[in-house]
Amino acid sequence: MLERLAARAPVPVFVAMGRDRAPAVERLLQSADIDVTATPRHASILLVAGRVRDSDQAYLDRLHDQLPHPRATFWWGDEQGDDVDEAQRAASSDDPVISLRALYRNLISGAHASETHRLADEPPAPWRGKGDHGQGGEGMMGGVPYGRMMPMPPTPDIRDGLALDVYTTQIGPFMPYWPAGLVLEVTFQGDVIQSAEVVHPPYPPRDVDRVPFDRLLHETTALAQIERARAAHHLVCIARVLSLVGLPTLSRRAQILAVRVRANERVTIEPLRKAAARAGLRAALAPGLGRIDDRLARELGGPAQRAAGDAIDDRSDNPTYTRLDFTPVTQTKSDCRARLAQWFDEAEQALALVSAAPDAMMDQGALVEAPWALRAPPIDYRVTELLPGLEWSEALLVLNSFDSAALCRMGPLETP
Amino acid sequence: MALTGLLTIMGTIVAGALLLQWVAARTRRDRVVESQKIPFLGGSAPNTHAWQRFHVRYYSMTLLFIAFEMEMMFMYPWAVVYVAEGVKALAEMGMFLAILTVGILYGWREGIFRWQ
Repeated sequence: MLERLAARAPVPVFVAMGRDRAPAVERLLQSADIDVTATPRHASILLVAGRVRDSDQAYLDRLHDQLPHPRATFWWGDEQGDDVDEAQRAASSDDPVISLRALYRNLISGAHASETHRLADEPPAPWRGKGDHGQGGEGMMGGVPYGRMMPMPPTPDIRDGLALDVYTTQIGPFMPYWPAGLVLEVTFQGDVIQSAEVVHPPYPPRDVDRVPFDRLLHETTALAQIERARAAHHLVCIARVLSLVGLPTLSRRAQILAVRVRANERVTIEPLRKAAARAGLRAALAPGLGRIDDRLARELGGPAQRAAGDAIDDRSDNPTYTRLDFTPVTQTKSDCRARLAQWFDEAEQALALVSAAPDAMMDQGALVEAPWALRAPPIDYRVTELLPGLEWSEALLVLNSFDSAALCRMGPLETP
Repeated sequence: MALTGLLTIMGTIVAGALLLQWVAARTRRDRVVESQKIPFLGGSAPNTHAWQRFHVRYYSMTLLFIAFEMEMMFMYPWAVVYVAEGVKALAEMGMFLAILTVGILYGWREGIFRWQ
């Protein structure tokens, strides 16, 4: 009886985002049957969405072992081998909700055995004190573990110059609000990031909203389709930031708006924007947070460049758009607030263009600005240069104030 | 007699605790492995043991707390003797406050009063 009731609860799932599955997983988030958890400790099923690099397998195994019993892995994608149980996989075109629910039910009732741990049961960093049992040693804390100097390391804090202990750890690659595949080695002093290095670059983004832009290369495409894809892309980016600053209801609203925009429904973004402003969105984003210099803005292009005040947009030279009196919207500050405002402005402008010219068609190969920038050559800036001096919550806000394409271009290129 | 009662109670508690542990060990389906003891870092493992020294940044807040709290702690008894002692007590408290103020000034320089 209890087991049956428990099995009817939303399925707690932790998502390890692989390549190419981000839009599909966003759709999954809409389902009331699925509870996507923030950490593996709250999940019963590890959902591996898409392909992961071979080098990420150990990270995946550790995540798997961190799930409490009873637990199972579910593979969602086309690349899984035949050795995976039929109940634990779905093709990328399938909706996995029904399979996930069945798996969860069997897991709770005991019909599906809980998976055992994959990594060796030994501490990743055992204590290394001086004595036989790791006890004792020199210094006032009773040990000089890991051969570190007493009293304090040589690097001073970037905030007040005090040379106190630092904490270095790797973070990623599978976390909510985190570019899928990115592994950073981050050094903290207190709550402030001192430095960050890229260990593994993020997976290249694959976005459902790029489809009309790709199609335009080969065939005549409706302006409405292009602009709806742009608005949907920006709304998804906005939803991520809203969720991150603690406005989950508004985030869900933005997600639903994105779905409706893709479904060719008539929507207005203004109410969402007002609700976000009333909820204190500006207060959550400190002024000047995540400001980038003009060079990086120019090299990133797209909304990030226009948020820095450069009215550069390929649509300005497109006759279809000039007939509609198109002028690019810009911001001035080039910080997180400006980039968020830019997404809002561009999404509203895109929907206004759709209303102004619902039947306009664009010729094959016409020059149109994508929701993200594609034209600039790869840049030598690294995402890691944005992070030092920020607290972790601010760092996540800064990372999520860029679209996934811009983030990918700020990291090093992936070695095949 | 009292000792017997006490020993009985202690024995019952220890036996009960051991019994609970035994039941918990028998009914647990899977034991906790090392991967579950480490913090969630998106799949990464920490480089160092949890006992490593790490600078928590509340030292400045602690400093401020001690500066004001010690002040108040001594000012209550001082207020009682002040009536009897007069100017001498006032001078002594002035010296004490002057020393604590150095700590507050140091904290000020360190940015304790900046709200972040």
